[in-house]
Amino acid sequence: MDFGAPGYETDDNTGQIISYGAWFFGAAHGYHTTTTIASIVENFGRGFYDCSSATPTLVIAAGVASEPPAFTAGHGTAWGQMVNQINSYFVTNHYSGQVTAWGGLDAENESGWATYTQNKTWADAFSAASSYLFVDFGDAGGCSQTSYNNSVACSLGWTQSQFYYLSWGAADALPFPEIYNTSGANASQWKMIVLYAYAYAGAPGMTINGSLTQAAACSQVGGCSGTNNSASTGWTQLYNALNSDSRSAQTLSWASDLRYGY
Amino acid sequence: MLAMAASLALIATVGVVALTLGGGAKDDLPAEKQAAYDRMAQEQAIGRDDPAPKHPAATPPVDVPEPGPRFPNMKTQAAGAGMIIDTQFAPPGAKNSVWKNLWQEQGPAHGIALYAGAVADDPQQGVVFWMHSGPPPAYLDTTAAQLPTPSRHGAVHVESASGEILTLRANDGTTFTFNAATGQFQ
Repeated sequence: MDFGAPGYETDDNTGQIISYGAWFFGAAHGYHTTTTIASIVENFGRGFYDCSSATPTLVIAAGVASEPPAFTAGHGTAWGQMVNQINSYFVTNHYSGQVTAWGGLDAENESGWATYTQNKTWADAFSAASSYLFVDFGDAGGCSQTSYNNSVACSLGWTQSQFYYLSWGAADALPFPEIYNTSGANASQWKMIVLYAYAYAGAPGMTINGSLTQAAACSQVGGCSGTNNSASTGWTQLYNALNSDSRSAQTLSWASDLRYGY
Repeated sequence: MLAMAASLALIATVGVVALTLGGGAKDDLPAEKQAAYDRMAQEQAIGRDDPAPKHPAATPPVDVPEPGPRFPNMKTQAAGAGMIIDTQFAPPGAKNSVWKNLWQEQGPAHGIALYAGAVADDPQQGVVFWMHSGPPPAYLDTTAAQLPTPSRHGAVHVESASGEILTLRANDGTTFTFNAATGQFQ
């Protein structure tokens, strides 16, 4: 669940930060605290639990976009603590056999978005505060599709090593990248980051958790040419790319698709 | 009941990634990730050993402490049927774009949002991202569209509104009229 841009609110008199949260998207734009967001995730999990059989399990990733200005260490800490709180609820109420919460980070090198350093700060703060994992469900914009030695800059001067850190190098991070591009470009970019991990980062076991697509969201928008992989196509592109080289070969367990609203 | 509906509204208006992610530990994981997977497995076992009863027809007693919306540390001004919000946050899923502000309506029949800005690597091309949802508090059935301005005059921002008719002004002073009800430039 992508809750939008990070936010905080301050005391009118002292200027001190009194809560962290997120700015929701679209018509419901407005600030909501981590307390409210935790309540949403808890109730989503409870709904899944009550309405499913005893077999399926669900991990709900509560995510934010890497947008300034509230994308800080304090926010990462608060978000990690929120995930702890949600899981405590699931355990206390005996739902944890089927439902778990993780964090989520949409780390992107977009104009106007946070810098790599700000992303790293958030990821490290989350990892220090949380006992649970988070998925990086962002992109690797402009990164090389053919080389993995970190010498070819990605968009806005980012590097493969930086995307590696945010998606795997950070203690609690797992990669769940956007595989939107119908040409297979995104899959090739992430294969190169896995190869970078293998060859240069001393992390031969970098494991992609799953592939993220936006086909449903595209259909709501009336189409998005060239970036509307279906969930199965995105998964297949990434699986084939990773398994075209023994150094990046792995099982790709999951696929997920975005839509606006629910 | 009202509290529950409010909560569902919040769920309905975020971009949802319905994740059913891997729960099993991988071989040779870094220690911190292995510890997190181990903790998760431990808590799953606890839950499986003593599961809560299922209530498929239950209405969860949801307590939403803040119905919102609130806009701390952000400038807003009333404009037509909605308000202009001084934010540069991106709409969900938008790539290669920069945003100047947002007009938002939360009416009894529907919710509308109109983000205004420009294409990042083509800053003379203005762009808007329009989202139309069902009524609050759920804001279900969202439709959306990203549209270029009809002509190239730089980034646009929402300047004013009359009802749901918005006036957008570009960097060079050119104005555009946008019908937020239909999601089209006029």
